[in-house]
Amino acid sequence: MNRKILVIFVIITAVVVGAVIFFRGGLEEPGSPRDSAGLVIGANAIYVEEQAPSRTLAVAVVRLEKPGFVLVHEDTSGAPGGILGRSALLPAGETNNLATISLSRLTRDGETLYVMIHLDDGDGVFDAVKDKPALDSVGALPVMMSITVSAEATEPGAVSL
Amino acid sequence: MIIPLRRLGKFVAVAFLVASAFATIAYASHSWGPYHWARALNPFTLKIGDNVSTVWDSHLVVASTDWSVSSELDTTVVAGQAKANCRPTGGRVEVCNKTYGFNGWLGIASIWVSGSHITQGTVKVNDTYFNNAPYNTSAWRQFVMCQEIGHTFGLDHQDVNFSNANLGTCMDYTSDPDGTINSQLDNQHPNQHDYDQLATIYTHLDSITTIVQTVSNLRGNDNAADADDDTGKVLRKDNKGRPALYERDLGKGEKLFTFIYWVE
Repeated sequence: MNRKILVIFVIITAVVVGAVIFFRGGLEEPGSPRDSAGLVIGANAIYVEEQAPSRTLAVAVVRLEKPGFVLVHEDTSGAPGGILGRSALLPAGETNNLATISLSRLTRDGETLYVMIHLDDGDGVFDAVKDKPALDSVGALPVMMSITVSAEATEPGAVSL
Repeated sequence: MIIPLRRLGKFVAVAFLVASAFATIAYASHSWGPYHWARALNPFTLKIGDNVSTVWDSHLVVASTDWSVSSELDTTVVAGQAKANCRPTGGRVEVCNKTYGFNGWLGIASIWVSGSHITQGTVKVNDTYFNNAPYNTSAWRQFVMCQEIGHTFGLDHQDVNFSNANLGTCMDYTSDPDGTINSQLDNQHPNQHDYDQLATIYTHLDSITTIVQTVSNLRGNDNAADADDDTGKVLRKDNKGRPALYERDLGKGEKLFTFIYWVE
């Protein structure tokens, strides 16, 4: 009798697992990080949603041609100024829903931030001089996203390039 | 009934083979995780807010028409409600264009979810690149617009290798959107596999809906191509001050009452 119960249990488990995978298109949980190659046109890309005032910043998607960092700059006369925070060393490839970046101060409603990619020079340690910004293949300018902080901002559950 | 251990082993093996077969089929599909709009019946109509400039209007309309071929869903382009930062609107999709800068992406789709249910979505297309060669063509705009809107239904990509031969769908990455460079299939529109995938995603019905049932009365960016919705005057608002009931005078004593169910 115990074997019969065991057989039934195994069959039900297998069918349920198969059905879950089939009907849900994978084992991904809602809003969880996911990989997507992205409709990008360069080896480096970044996307940041509108942010609410905070001491942290969330990066939705970043793609790196080699290991590097994401830096958050404040605005100085319409251009990237002082560094408010940076990520840990990130691996090459695409990372979704990056861990939030801690900032040195609370951001303000209405201010502009620049979120920029810097590529590591190979030593794995950030150096503002040696770890240069990644350059876009079309514009030959630093790959970055400028955003406006807004008290009305809401974070999406998922993003796809 | 006692089942011999050898038969038990075979049974388990068969069961896992069946499960593996299901899994293989699933990974050949291109749904975006479990995400889908909640609705109680099919086909359903999803509003797409037009916040784009005139150069994009025709591409938005074509994409809307293309996706409406699906037997599960229809889309209708309505006046946009997104503001400068392309804010989402509950129960619908807002589509925006802007020079978002040299950030590496042509287009992006974002969805807000409650569990596996999509509650609102946005599409952004990046004019910083579309103002430059080789992306300043109708084919590139149509390809990207089609793909990003497709994501907001819960579809993922069919292929993510730019160098592979075109599959004839906008959900396939390509460097040759209309197929004219390499004499191959046109990737500016969905293909049957996309419609089949939508059928798979939306075969079941939900007990709730996350889709706004009517259009709004707000104008978008004042493009001539933008629809001027006419839902009438607001008769009632909900406890959050949002229009809940419209009355439209159709003439000859006829009136159209439109109820709005707002997504929380």
